[in-house]
Amino acid sequence: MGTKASLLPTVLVVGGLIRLLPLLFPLIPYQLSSVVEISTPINSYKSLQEAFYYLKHGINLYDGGINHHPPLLVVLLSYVPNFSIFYALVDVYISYSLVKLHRWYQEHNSIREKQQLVGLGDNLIAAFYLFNPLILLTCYSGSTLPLSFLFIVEALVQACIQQKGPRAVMMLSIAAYISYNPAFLIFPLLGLIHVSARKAAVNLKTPWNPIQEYIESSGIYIASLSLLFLCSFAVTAGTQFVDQCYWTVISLSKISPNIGLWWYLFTEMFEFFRTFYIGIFNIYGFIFLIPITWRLFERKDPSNIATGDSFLAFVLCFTWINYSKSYPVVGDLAQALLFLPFFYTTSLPHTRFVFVPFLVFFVALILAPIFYYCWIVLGNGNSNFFYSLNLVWGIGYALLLTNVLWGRLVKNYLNTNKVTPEKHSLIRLTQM
Amino acid sequence: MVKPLPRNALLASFDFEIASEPIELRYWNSTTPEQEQYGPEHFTFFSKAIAPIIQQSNARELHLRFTQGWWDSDTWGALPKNGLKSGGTGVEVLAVIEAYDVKEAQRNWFRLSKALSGFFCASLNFIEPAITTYPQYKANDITSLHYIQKPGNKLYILRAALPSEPICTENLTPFLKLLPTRGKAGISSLLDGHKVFDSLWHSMAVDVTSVCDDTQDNNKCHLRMEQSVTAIVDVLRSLRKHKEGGIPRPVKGDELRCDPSKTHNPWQCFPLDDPVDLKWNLGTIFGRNIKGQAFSGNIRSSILGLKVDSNHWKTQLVKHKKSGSERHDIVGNSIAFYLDDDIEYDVSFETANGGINVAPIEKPPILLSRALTGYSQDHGGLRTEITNPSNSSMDFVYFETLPWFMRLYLSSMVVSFENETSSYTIAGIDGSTHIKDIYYKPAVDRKRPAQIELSISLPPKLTLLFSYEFDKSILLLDEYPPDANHGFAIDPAVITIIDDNKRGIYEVRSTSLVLSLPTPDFSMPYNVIIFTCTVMSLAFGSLYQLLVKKVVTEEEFEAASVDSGIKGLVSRVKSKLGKRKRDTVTEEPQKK
Repeated sequence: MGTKASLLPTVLVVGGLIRLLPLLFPLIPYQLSSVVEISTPINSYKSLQEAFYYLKHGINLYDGGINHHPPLLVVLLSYVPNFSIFYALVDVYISYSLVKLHRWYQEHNSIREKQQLVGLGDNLIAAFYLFNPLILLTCYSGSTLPLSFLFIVEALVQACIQQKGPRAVMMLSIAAYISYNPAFLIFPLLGLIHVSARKAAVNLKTPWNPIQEYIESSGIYIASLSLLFLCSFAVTAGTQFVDQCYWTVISLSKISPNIGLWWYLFTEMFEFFRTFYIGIFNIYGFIFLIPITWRLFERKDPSNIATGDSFLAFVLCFTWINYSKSYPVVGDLAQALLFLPFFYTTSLPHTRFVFVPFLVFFVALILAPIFYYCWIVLGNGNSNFFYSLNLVWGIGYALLLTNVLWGRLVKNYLNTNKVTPEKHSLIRLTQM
Repeated sequence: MVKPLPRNALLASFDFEIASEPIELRYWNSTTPEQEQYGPEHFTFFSKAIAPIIQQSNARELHLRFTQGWWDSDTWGALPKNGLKSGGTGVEVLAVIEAYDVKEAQRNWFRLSKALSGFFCASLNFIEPAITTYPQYKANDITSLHYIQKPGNKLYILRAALPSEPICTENLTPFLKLLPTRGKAGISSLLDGHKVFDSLWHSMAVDVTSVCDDTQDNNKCHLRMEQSVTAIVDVLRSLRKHKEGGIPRPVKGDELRCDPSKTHNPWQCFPLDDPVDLKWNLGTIFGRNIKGQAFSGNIRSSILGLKVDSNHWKTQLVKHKKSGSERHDIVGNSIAFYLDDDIEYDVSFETANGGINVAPIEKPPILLSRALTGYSQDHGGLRTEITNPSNSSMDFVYFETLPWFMRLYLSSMVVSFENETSSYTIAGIDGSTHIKDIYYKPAVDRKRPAQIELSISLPPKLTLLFSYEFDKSILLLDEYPPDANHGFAIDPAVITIIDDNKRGIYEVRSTSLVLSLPTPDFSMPYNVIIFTCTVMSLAFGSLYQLLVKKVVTEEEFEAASVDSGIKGLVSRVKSKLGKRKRDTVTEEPQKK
């Protein structure tokens, strides 16, 4: 462990340095922000630059169809002198937070499982993030996706490691402010806060009321979101930004090809069905968040058997949101996949065919740019080529989610029924 | 006015001016009944058809342009009438509307365009907010009205262009109806749709302005209408059509003009340029003669002007009943014939002294070209090139509107300057001393086009190049026109050279562009709904099962399934039947 840990600074430094490539080739962000798989009109670097231009020339930021970045973000980012260095720092910080979270997760589950779990090395966890090609491309493209992820990870750090519920929900509100979709992560986050607050209360032997905890956290969440909105309102002197930044995401009013399931359906949709399907898709986006949180909730078991995994619930909810959002990019998948190594000691050994979704994603990742090129540039393919890979992509997500969830359910069964590890291979489980 | 141009082209322009009797311009309010707002009115020569349309929409000025073709400024020089009467390809409408707010101005504007659409048989009803702009640079051009608007009202300038609109004979017929002569007499009798539109370039303009007498206080104004048709006719083609009909045939062997300096025999021929010795008259070009004067008693009611190099052309007014006098003025190369008799007129043209020389053409004061760059259907760029060929500095306004589906990134603008010896590039327009001012209104999806106005002062013999990039949006299924892969026409850009008072003195337009957008597969709507929903329900269903069902071993499942489902039902029925049988046959007690 000692030698491995000493590799971590090297990983962080090298990971940071390769992110400075756009310093040598300044056109990289512009080129990548036109790639549909990597960046969308909602979070692209080009539209951010255009927003800076508007800001500089006194044009109303939201009186136009280009800028979908929230006002405070635009104003704050306009003070960033160099984006490559800024994003490199953000990514290094995220990877370090992930390393801390990983340590916490192993420790937390070691206590629950009453045996020492040895997860992957710190350097590996950091390397999974820093050298993931999808994350790297997202970073080079200069999209605002890593910023939103930064605050999600920070919310996790605050909830799990620091055990500060209010700070965690505040961080999540910032993430939601930046990109809308993480707003629904409040449900699994509350689950995590519940667990860590309970742990703290047990440690300190203080009385603790979960209901009060929930009300407090949600209250702070709503209050900090409202505060952000109020500030934005004060900055822009109008409410147009709500329309441009959030309603566009909800209603998919800026249709552009991406790897998600939304865009082609709404391009081809008849006008009178539109509203109905917008509603369906939005409900679909958060319908599983509470059930997943509930099913994987770490209940206080009198016999002290570890069932449930609130952290996994959070990760699954995050994956579900990334799968069902209206403007997904490959970076979303990469961010969801990052957490999988965490469960190397818990759920992953019990999954059935976790290899298959990776193959599916791999095929989609290879073919999507080719088919897109055939459709848009060469003209020898049509939009259905690209669309077919959206479907493959969606199936990949479905396989991934069900596999990881099944792994945890098996783990729960083994724990509750106290099956010894020798018998693991003999037992065959199903559902009814 | 008729003027031969190089390469056997002929510039023919027809101008008509009509003024109404002084009328009181009232603000027409849609809420009060019509009778209260209208007294009997008399327009004399002014068309009764168009006056109410203009009055009811409170339009104080109306400019319509119907243009087709590409003006070859290298050969033909500056645009006729300083380009102020020619539009860009397609239809262009500009109106000055009096209203108390912009919403009301818009309402009037759409009412006006719908009415004009019916009147001119053009698709002006497709004018919608998404293509309407409010040009700022025109603001200095309307102060000449002397019109005093109602207190609290303002004048709004609205503009829209339909670059893909074909201009056809059906647009000429209503145009002629506006004339008091209805095209039956005067020079308008030459206008035949088949001939006018069979030209290299043609433009039709209707300008209505209110000219008010500022000494009177009750807004007594004339409605003044200027109409003009300008066309560049290919003389050779007209003559050939006249002789041989509409179907082009190969030139016969003995009519071929071979280059004598090279080998020529019945089998080999290097053809020469167009013939130089020509004789034709207006009647052959336009298919008709001029049917007398427009109005009797006014010598200036019909004037035919010629602008020819008299050393190389012989021109003669041909009168089809030898009577009456011929009156004309000659100033330099220009001749003006006053057609003041009720007879048919024609003009014959004949080249003299060999070779075709024409009256000197006026050099264009500014050159403009614009092109699309990029090759893919998801993004591209616009590159504009403006040259000042003259020897003096030129102040002008560059005006451009781009549809909302071109998502423009003005931050990507690159400006460069070039002259014969050097060139330099600057990123963005802030560093440029020549681009003085920029007005930019970004596009809003489906609601507003992007509008760019650049005030530029370009030193002599300098070329300004600027380019910016845009992303192409994908449209919704029902927003695509029937022929979606043909592409979408983009309005021509307009350059207006301004004088010291910021009034427009010369206008030139670029060509319109065709932008191809990415298209979905139009046959897919139901398939897409089915496929997408299948994948979604796959994810939903499998996750739902995992979440709600209980985890058991397969043995437990087997045992449980015996008692449930169809299998369970069958076994239960079987056992019941068996029980009854056993009940009847034996009286043994059942073991449960």
